[in-house]
Amino acid sequence: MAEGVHTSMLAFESPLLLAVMALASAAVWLLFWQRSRTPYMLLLALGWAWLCLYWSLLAVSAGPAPLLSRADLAMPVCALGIAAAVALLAGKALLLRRMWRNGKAHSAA
Amino acid sequence: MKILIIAPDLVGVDAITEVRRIQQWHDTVNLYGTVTADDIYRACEEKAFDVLHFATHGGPDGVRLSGGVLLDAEDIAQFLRLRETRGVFFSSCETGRLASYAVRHGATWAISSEVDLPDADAWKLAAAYYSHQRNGNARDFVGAYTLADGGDGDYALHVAPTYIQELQRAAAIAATIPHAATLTRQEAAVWGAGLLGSTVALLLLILKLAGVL
Repeated sequence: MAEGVHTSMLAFESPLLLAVMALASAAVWLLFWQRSRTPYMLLLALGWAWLCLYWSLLAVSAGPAPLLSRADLAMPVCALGIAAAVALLAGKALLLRRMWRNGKAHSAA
Repeated sequence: MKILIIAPDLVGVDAITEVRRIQQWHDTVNLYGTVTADDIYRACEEKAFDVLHFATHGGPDGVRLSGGVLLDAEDIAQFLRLRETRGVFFSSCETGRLASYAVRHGATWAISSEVDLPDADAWKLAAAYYSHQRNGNARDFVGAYTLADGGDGDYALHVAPTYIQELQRAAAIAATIPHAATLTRQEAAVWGAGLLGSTVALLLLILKLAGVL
């Protein structure tokens, strides 16, 4: 097997662990959302779920004998990365907006 | 806790036991003997108290000071607002109306008697209440009242509606804080099993597609 960018040391293990971590994060945010039904929590859960997919695809294409090559996955991976970034940014923006409103309500009291 | 005890010299009022008990546990200023409204005003002006404690005769229209002078609900509310006194304890008969007025006009809480109190027993609730409020529990007026009151309907705890609103607002904010939520054993088991299953499935899928398996 040729030693390339995608098959170097830990090129497979690193995105694999990141995918598992992102899955756990998505699950935790989903649990929070299920409790309070606060929109930003759902967005963060979605963002982490997409990141999980993103790193899963990177791991798949970095394996010793991948069924899907990196070239085949390039477009979906890029699209997932952008979607995850947008969802996480929007989630954090909504979280900050919520904090801002709480602060205003508290000051008015 | 800083308490201003108002115990004027009136026939039928024996506040000695009550005052002694409160003095044991708290930092008190006692107005006894001849007590006028001006004495109370000056005491409230000089020092910020946590509680005004009235050990005297009372009724729906007010409490009695020396010479039978009536101190009405608005006078009491003014004393409370002077230095933001949080609580008022009426160890006096039929003071529900006064307490209700006090919590709408400055006080956070007020304790009143809803019946004619026998003078010999009037000190008991006060003693129990203040004993629960010592040792750093001064802010837990609900806890102290719950422990002290027998629930026979003789006394009532009045709480300011604005205070309740503040609590409700704080609770609503707390509900949006992720770590403020609780997780039961059953929920932890369900979510844990779900996460474990998903992780295993994801790993197997990745390993298969990557050609490891």
